[in-house]
Amino acid sequence: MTQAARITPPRALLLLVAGFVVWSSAFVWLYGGLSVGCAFGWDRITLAGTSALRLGLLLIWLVHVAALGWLLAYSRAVRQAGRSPPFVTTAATALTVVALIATVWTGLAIPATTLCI
Amino acid sequence: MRRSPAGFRPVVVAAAAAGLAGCDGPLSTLDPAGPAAATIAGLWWAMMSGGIVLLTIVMALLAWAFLRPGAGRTTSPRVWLAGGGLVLPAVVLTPLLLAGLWAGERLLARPGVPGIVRVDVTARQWQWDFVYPDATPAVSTNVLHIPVGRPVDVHVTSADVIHSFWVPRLAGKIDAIPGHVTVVRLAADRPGVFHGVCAEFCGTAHAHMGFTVEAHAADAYEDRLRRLGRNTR
Amino acid sequence: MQQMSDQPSAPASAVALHKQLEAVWGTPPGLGRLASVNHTIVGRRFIVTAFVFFAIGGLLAMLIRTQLATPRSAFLGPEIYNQIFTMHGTVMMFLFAIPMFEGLAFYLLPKLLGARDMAFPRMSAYGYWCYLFGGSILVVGLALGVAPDGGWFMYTPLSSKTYTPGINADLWLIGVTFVEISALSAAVEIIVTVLKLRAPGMSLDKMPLLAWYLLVTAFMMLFGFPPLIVGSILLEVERAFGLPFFDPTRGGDPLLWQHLFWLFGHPEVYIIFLPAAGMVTTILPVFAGREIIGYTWIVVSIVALAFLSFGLWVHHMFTVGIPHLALAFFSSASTAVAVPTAVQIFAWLGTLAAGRPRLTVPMLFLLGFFFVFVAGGLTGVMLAIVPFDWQVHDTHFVVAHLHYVLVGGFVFPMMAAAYYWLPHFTGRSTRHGFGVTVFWLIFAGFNLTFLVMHWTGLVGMPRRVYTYGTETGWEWLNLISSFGSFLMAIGFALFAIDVLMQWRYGRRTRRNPWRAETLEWAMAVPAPSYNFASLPAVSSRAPLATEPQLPAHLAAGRGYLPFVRDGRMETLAVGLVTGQIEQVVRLPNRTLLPLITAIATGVFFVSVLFKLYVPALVGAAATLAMFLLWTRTTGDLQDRGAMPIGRGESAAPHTEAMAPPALWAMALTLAADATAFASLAFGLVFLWVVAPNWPPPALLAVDPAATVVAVVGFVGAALVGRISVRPAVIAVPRLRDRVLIGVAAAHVAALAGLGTTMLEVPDPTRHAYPAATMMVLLYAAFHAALGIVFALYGVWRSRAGFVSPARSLDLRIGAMWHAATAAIGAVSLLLVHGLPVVMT
Repeated sequence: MTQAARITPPRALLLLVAGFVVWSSAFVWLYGGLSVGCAFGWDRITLAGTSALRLGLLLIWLVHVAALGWLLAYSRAVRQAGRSPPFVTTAATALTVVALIATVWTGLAIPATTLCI
Repeated sequence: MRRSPAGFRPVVVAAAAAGLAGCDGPLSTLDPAGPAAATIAGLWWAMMSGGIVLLTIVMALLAWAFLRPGAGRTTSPRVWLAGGGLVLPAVVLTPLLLAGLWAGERLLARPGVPGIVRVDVTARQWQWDFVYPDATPAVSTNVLHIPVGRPVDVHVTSADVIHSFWVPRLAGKIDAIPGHVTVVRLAADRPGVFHGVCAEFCGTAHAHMGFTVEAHAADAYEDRLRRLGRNTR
Repeated sequence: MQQMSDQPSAPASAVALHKQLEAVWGTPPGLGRLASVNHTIVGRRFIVTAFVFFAIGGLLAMLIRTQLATPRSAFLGPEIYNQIFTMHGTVMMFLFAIPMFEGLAFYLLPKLLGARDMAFPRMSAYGYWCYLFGGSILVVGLALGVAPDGGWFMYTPLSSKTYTPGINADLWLIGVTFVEISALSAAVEIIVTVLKLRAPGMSLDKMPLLAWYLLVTAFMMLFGFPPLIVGSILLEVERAFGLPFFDPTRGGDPLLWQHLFWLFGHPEVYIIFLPAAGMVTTILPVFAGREIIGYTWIVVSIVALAFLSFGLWVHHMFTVGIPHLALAFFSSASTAVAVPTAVQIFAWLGTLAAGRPRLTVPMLFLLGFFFVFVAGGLTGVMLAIVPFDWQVHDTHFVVAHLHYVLVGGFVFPMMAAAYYWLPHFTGRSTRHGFGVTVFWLIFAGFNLTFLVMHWTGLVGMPRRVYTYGTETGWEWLNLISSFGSFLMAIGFALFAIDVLMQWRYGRRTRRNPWRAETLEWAMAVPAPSYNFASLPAVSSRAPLATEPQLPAHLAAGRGYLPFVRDGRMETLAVGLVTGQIEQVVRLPNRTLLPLITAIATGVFFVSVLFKLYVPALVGAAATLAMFLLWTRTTGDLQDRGAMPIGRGESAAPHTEAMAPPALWAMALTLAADATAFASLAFGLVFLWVVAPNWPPPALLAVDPAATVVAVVGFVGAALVGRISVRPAVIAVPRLRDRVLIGVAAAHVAALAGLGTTMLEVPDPTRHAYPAATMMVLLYAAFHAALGIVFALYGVWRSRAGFVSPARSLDLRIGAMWHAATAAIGAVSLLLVHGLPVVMT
């Protein structure tokens, strides 16, 4: 077992909320991107058979899902290495899973829903 | 009488249920007279039934805990937390969200549908002005004329504060916001007079900012617009 | 200092210890009570005041229901009716629900955590006075017939100068913002108290769940209130000076107000619900006779709930013509929020099922909570479904729903909490029968009123109409609702009588009458001013179950700090995660300063209300001066090193600790500050993207020299601020003073650069672009100005002897401010100069 550094108080709390911070970022970027995209007419640009705006939103969504995937792996590693008290790491891992599901759930409508009406 | 096929079934279901519960009234969302209102009334009846079932389940579990004390002692906490907290909501919410989005998609005022009628509405304290761009320069105040069976796109704006355009028996509401134009699509599937109100609080006479929608058969509608145009001129 | 102060010993008897502690912690009778900063007293004041406002709000509700009982009623005209429903919502939200939770938090938290007081007792007192004065402004307005009348949501342009020329809307903006000071300061205080002021051994996973709930709620307040405060300031500036943030004819947008308002307004609902859910989680296991199931599940749920609740705000705006995909995002989040709520509901159900529930009066109210809240949650999910919301939005269906959620999710648990903790407040026991009557009256009255109201909404009755016709078919529904509401009112009146009777004539109760296991019951009731004669060491989530003799041991002085040292008030702070002893926190004693400061703040707000800007500036300056005076008794003039704390252990005083509570408070304040700035920046960007009548007639001319001076000033303030906290610099008094003066000079440069830039801004009354640009620059300038104060304050503290390499807190707090100012300044300049480039 490698002797990784323990994760200390302020950072331990950050680990708890990191997953949902990513969810928040996804939410803000998706909503903001959609609003800006509709204002500038990006929905009318066609790219690879669909609108550029939809592609952009899908990209934002997938990037955040990927980030959460990485975070999940990281928090599991922290938990297994015992770098923080079990309660903190268990809760952090659970919250990351919940945030991942919430992010997927939030973006479910992107592929199919009307963009700017 | 023409009805959009998609709206037909909810109309029948809703009408039957409305008859049972005494839901009629000039402003009742549960006495729909158009496909949009009917779709939403159908959603309501489905959600109400589901809601009652869920509430009953929770109350039954609660009663069980009191009437058979300690009976749940052997049940693993995980069953409660994962079963009731995760699985149950997932099973209920997934189809509900999808149904809601699907219904929303169908009700959107998307362009390209044949036979759309356009009306421009300006709300102000405390009246409604309707302009019919297809039959310029017809205008009317506090009475909106529409043809039966055709989708009507109501383009709404406000000249002062925020109002909200709402004809409960025909469709959902849309806010009238100064500086913005918002659109709601509605249709009446029978001739008649339907009542509308301002749904967003807009000052002292908010309660008196009603209007009516008169749905005419095709010929009568054309005739009506011609007469409106003559009056304006 | 005397040598003996470092070697205090516990007094011989429990009574002697009590007398010693009471002399320091107690509040004298009479006028001396105005100086009280004790959390038990301040908490009680919040609760009683909130209940008085609840009665006022309830009375207004009765007037509403009387008016609506019959069609075409001549009881109230629309002018009065609009004031009444606006004030009903405003009072219940801002003057009842939030302060009631704050009061309970203040009263309970230190007792639950095993501490002697909150982290910043004077801030609690100041917050209370701000709440009382701000609330009084609103109520006086109502009595004079000039109360706000634009709805509790104050939608522009109805609330703008053109359509509400009178003082009504200003009263709302000023009064509510005044009250919100108490909400924000309470948020900071609750977070710091939960994170630091816990009993030794109470690691994060041994915290009572109520503390988790309050912690999460306080974080939500920290990020939820700033958008509303910014929105209120913008609207007041628009009304007073004509800067058109919300006026669509001049590039403003009424939708900006809606976003800022609901960005606060939706989390607000959960800010109200979560503390109540925390009470349920605390009370229910006691009467189920077993510990709650799923501790970690609940913690995860409430954190998830807190975040998700910030992704719901647009579901109040489903009918404003936002694209369907955007509605879908908010619809998804609004349904998702049901999941963590369901986890909690089933945790409670599972706990009841696994235990042997006792049907006491608090339990009865919890059962009422279950029915009402679950029903309200279900209609909430319905409202999250976009097309359904298009129909019932702004109808009485929503009125019914929100009362199910708020009364179910807050008032019923509060009633349970009242009956549960009343013996703690009064030291007397409740009479069972009376409470049962109260419950059935409220429960039956509530459901009669609001169950039928769903139907009233479905058959088309909009909200906020003062009258309706007979042709609508709403007469019977409304009559039933009004009848039910009067039953409910009788129930609440009886409750007030029941409480008074118990307080005056109740039988004395024994300690811990409910056989609860949390620390607040490990003390005599009513609670002594110092809570615990000595502080407990905690080793489990249920300290009184693990160690039944704990109360006696603590009273006998066998815990930590069983003495009074130097006549100072001391409590312990622990490591945030581990709960290991970290520092001795020395708390300030009773003082009139919070009251005087609040009066100065009141002078500011009332002057702004009457548009007297010179007195307003005097009030603001006086407030700042008073706050500086607070610090005269904080801090230490000498390095002390580790001090004995009893049980053979010792800890450093907080003045010499790495992370004392005040440092945490500063970090949290800056987080709220950043949120406010982000809201303002969002406003500028939003208007540019969405609002009508853009682009603006003229853009900001770039003045390179001014920009360079401002940038140099900001960067300099941050860098020199960092240097000022280097141990090598602090060690040399003359050097550290010079460095601090350098920081002040850097802020002056930043101010000069910003000021020159402001001169280039086009007339801000002509368009929202220059108006919003001006506000962003002013925001940065305000920070630089306060930066000067922080730097000079550092010099003052340094010269007065409060600073040493070990006691660097004042300078470290200053350095945080300087860094934050630099960040805000840099982003401001980037925004005002960069946005025109990107957008044109």
